[in-house]
This record gives sequence, structure tokens and C-alpha cells, in this order.
Amino acid sequence: MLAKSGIALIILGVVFSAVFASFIPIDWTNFAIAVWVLIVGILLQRKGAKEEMKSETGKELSLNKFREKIIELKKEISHYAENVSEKDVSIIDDRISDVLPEVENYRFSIVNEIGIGGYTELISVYAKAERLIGRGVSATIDEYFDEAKKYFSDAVVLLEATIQRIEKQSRERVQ
Amino acid sequence: MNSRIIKKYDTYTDVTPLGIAVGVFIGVLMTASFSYAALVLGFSTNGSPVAAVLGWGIMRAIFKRGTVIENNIIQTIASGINTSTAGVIFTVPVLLIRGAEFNFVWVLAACVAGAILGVGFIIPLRKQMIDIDRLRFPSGTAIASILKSPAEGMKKSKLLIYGAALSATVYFITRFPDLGLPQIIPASFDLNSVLGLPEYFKNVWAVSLLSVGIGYIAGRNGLFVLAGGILAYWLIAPFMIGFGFLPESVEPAHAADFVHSQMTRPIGIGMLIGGSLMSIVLIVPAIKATIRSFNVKAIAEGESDELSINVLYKVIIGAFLLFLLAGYSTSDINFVTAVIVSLVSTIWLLFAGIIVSQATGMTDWTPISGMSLIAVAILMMFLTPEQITTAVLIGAGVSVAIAESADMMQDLKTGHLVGNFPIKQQKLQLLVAGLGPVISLSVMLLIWNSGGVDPVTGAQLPGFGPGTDIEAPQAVALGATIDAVQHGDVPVEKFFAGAIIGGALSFTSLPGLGVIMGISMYLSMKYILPYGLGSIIAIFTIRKKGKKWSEKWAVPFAAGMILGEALLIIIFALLKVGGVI
Repeated sequence: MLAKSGIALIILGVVFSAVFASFIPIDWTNFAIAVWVLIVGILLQRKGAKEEMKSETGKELSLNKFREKIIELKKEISHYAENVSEKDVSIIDDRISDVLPEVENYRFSIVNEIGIGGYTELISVYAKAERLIGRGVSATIDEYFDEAKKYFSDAVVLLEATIQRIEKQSRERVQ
Repeated sequence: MNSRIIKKYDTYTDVTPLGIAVGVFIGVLMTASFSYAALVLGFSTNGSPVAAVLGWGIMRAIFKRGTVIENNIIQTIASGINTSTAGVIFTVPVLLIRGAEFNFVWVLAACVAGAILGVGFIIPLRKQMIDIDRLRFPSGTAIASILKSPAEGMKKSKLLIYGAALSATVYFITRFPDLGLPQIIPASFDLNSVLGLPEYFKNVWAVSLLSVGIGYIAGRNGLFVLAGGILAYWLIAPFMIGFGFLPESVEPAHAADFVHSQMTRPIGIGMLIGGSLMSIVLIVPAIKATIRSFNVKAIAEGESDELSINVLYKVIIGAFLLFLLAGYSTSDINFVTAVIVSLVSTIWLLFAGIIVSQATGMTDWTPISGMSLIAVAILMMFLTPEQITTAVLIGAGVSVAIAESADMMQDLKTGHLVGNFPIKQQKLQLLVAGLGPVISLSVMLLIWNSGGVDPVTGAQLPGFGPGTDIEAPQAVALGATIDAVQHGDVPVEKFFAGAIIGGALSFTSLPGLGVIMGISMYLSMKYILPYGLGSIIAIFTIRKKGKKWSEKWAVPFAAGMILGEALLIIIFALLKVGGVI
């Protein structure tokens, strides 16, 4: 409810501030009022979003959920690190896309849990793993299977490092 | 599947001498043709999808070689050369048209400095926007799909081809009148004639499946672009015109254009600037962490996979010195003014690079001309009307840099998705970026000199500009901006008000909202509408079928739609400048 009210005020604030800014010369008094409405809306929307996130079951554990997704991904990639062959050429991209976590869905809640610094620290390592997975997929598509195994194997190391960073962040959060 | 036809390298390779040569070849070819087309038509287009397909075709068909990551390198090189076209052609011709001082060496130095700066400035931004902010970069995502699809199984390849065929066919039909054929599908259609709305209520839809495809890949962000467009064109414009809030001197026929050029566009530019600057402030902790992480070595490769941040510092110093030398050498200005102008340009470039990269990452639209016009406008505040050469020269450098930043980010996004190491892409683009201005400027001079000499006076006749067959519309627009600045006719207060709105919007839960809405107030509604339609289709599809399904099946089709129309745009541009149509 809080978030929805906030969004309504944001829309009103943006529309009216833009309208009053369009006057020649600008109607600064009404513009200032509209900007205040916009700011109040933003504050309400942010507060509402945080409350909604906490109240929804399981969402406050997003860091843990993200960890579970990385573990699942690591298991899949470990399989390809040991065994990738011609039969995987046309299906590997789809298979791996299915298990790659959609980080953007977790971003906001993770930042709320551990701060932007903590998020940056763990996502930097994950992004490197992600790139190596992409390289492994490309190598498989191009039928360089030995190299593909190596890239997947390197990605597994980075995924493990990501998991460790998440666990470290979780421990620090508890303390 | 393809091993019988395609020769394999000893190891899985991304950078090869052949790949570099093919990339440079395509880049040079595209730059020469795009430069000519940009002078004639006043627009340039994103060459990356075309470079990706050409690179793949040349490598596979002629050399029987090529890997996904090698093709990404080829496309990075080719677009790295080609991308400076807009920066050069939209600015430098104004010097020749106005008969101002033109020193090829210093103009080239400023443009090359800009090209190198553009690549250098995004070294820390890559990590921030691709790894951390997870920006979509729709074209970059589409090209990754294009690069992988030929080897990825028939279903996906077919989808890409169907998408390309559909958009190419539709575009081809819209151009029938150019071929002397009857019009079946118009290039755009005005829904107002059906709905009976007044003319100032902009409801013209471009028939552009390319825009629909980009909108689809942009996803939810596209809805906010649409919202910004609705605000500018369907709320503010009707309100201001309908209630008579325009100055009396504005004629009714020009009312809508007046609202856009004097009201919503400057507010949009202000929102872009304010939104980006506030985003930077808000992510300071992340930027600190990003810069710290430059010291972390890549576990897999045993070396850093990122270009060192020190390169950025060197690039900044080098470019500043080049701007200084170029500015000081071309106009009658004192050394202190030259230092101030160069410093201001370098700082503006840093901000503009961030603004453009963020806008491109979220929406795929690159506000190059807007940022360049602001650059020239800022410079003219420090210079006299007689010192236009310095303003245009450095403005050209800034413009080239902005274009390079946006292109490099798209290429790096593709590289991330197909698994290339950024350091290789960045080094190669740094190496070749300077080539683009050389070719663009050479083509421009060649056309200028084709004007010949007046037989009576012996004076050089213009090869392009008003009154010639080649109008150079963007350069003429820049000239008009310079005139406006010289007469003090710059809507600074609109920029300021827009910056406040854009800055405030950056505090919402959607990072970059100010940038997204700003860009849509700045753009033409004609393209926002099909783009927004693409986003609505994406949201509907994802709700019905799920995100994975959308990524797997719909994105290749959307990528095909981008590719097909982009190819045809280039072919028609070439036919037009070649005098065939």
C-alpha cells in the first residue's frame, strides 16, 4: 500500500514538475511543490518496497536463495567440466541458460541485505565465472571440447569462490 | 557438425592476425560508406550487427575458419573503426561550410584523442555497468545471439533468419516509392488521421521492426521510455499548446516543434544529465569496490582480464594534452583559455561517457548529438565567436569519444556473453580507434574538394552544405546551435530543472529511471512508439511463457529483426548516395 501510494505520488510529481518546468519562463514555485511531491513519493515507495520485501516469505533470505542457485549452477557446470562432447553442441547454450541465475532479480534485495559494497564484492567474482561459462559454451559450439572443459573447470573454481563470499557475507550479517 | 568444413585452430582462439585483418577491412569499408551516407542523409547507424554477420560470412565462406569469440573480436574491431563516423561527420563539416580555419592535422589529432579517450574512459564503467549493474545493452545482447546462433542448432538459426527476413521485407516494402514502385506500406503512419486528434498530438508510428526488436530485448526499461514519450508528446505538448502557454510569436503550424525543441527536449537532456550524475553519486561505494577489484587477478587466466585502471589515467592525461595543443594551435586564443577549455572538455567527456553508456545500456539509444551540442555550447561560453574553430574541433573530439564509449560498451556486453576477455577487446579497440577519424576526415575532404573551383574567382566551391546536393544536415544543425549560443539563446534553466527531476528519479528503486525518462523526452515519438510496443510484447511474453523461454526463442527472433532492417538501411543508404535510387 505504501509503495503504491509512493508510485502514485512519483507519477504526479514527475508529470507536474515537467509541466511547470516547460513554462517560459519556468513556474519555479509550482515546480518546487511538484518536486517535493516527487521526493515524498520516492521516500514512500522505497520504504514500501523494503517492507514488502521483508514481509514476503523467503524474500528476506534472498542471499541464501542466490547461494542455492549458484550451488545448482556449479553442479551443472561441474558435469560439463568432466564431460562435454559433440552431442552437447546444439543444446548446451539452452541447458546452461536454464540454470544461470537471473542476477537482476536478486540485486535489489541483496543490496538491501549486505549493502552495495558487499554485493559488488561477490558479484565481481560471479561475473568472471559467468564469462568463463560463456566461453565454455562458445568453445563447445565451435567443437573445441578440451578447451571447453578447461573453461568450465575454471568457472567451477570461481563459482566456489562466489559461494564462499556469500557465506562470509551471511556470517558477517549474523554477527 | 561443422568440423568437416571449417578448419580448426590448434587451440581455441579469439585474436588472430587474420581476424584483425578482416575486422580492419570491414571497419574501413563501413567507415568510408557510412561517412558518405552520414553527410548525405544526416544519420549514421549502429554497424555492429552488420559487422558481426559480415565477419562471420567472410571468415566462413572465404577462409573456412572462425570461432564465436573470434567473430566477436572482428566485430569489435570493425565497429571500433566505424563508430567515430557520426562524431566526425556531425561536427567537423561546419568548419568548412562556414569557411572557418581548417587544419587537417589538428582536427585529426582532436578526433583521434577523442577516439582513444572514449575507449579509455569506459575501463571502470565496463565492470560497473555490465558486471555489477547488469545493464541489458540490447544490441550487445542481440549480437551475442547472432554470433552463437549459426552453430547452435537449426531452430534458433531459423528464428534469427525468419526475424531478419521479416524485418528486411517490411523495410524493403516501405521503400518501394524510392524504387519507382507503388507504396504498399508507408515508412510511417499517423494514427491521428484515424482517431481525429489534433496535429500537435504526435501519434506517428515508424514502421520499424528494428525498433520493435530493440524494445523487446530492452524489456521492462522500454516501458519507462514509452512513459517518458507519453509525458512529453501526449501530456506536455497538448497541454502547453491547447491552453495557449506558448509565446505569441510561435505560429500554430510550428507549435509542436517549438514545444519539443524549446521545452521537452532541453528538459529531457537535463534529466539525462541529472539522472546520470545522481546515479554516480549513489554508486560511489560500488565504484570504490570496482576500482579495488581491478587488483584481483583472474583465477583462470593467471593474468588480469581487465585493462589496468592506470591506462585510464594515462589516456586522460594524453587526451588532455592533445586537446590543449589542438585548441591552442587552431584559434587565436591565449594559453590560459586553451587550458581551461581543454580541462572543461575532458571533465565533460567523463560525464558524457557515463551518461551515454548508461543510456545505451538501459535503452540502446545513444544521445550523441545532444551530448555533442552541449559540449560545443559549454565551450562557446569560454570562447569568442571568432574562436569557433577551437569549439568545433574539441567538440568533434568529445563527440567521437562519446560514440566510441557507447560502441565499446555494447561490444564488451557481447564479449561478456560469449566469453571474451575484456582486456583483449579494449586493447584492440584502443589500437584501431584512431583509424576511423582518418578515414572519415579523408572522405569528407574528398567530397568537399569535389565541389571544384570557381572559374572566375578561383575560390574553392563547397562540395557539401546548403545549396549543394550533399546537405550535411547534422553539421548545419550544429551551426545553428553555435549561432544560438552566440546570441545567448540557450535554455539553461530548462536543463537545470530537468536535472533536478532526473536526479530525484535516480533515488527510486529502479536505478537510472531519470536517464531512461530523460532520453525518451529527447527522442522522436515516431520511434519511441514501436520501441515501446516491443517492450509491451516482451512483458506480455515473459508473463505468459516465462523469461527463460523468452531468452531462448524470442530474443534470437528479435535479434534477427534488428539485423534484417540494419542491413537494408545500409544497402539503401549506399544505393542513394551512389545515385542508383
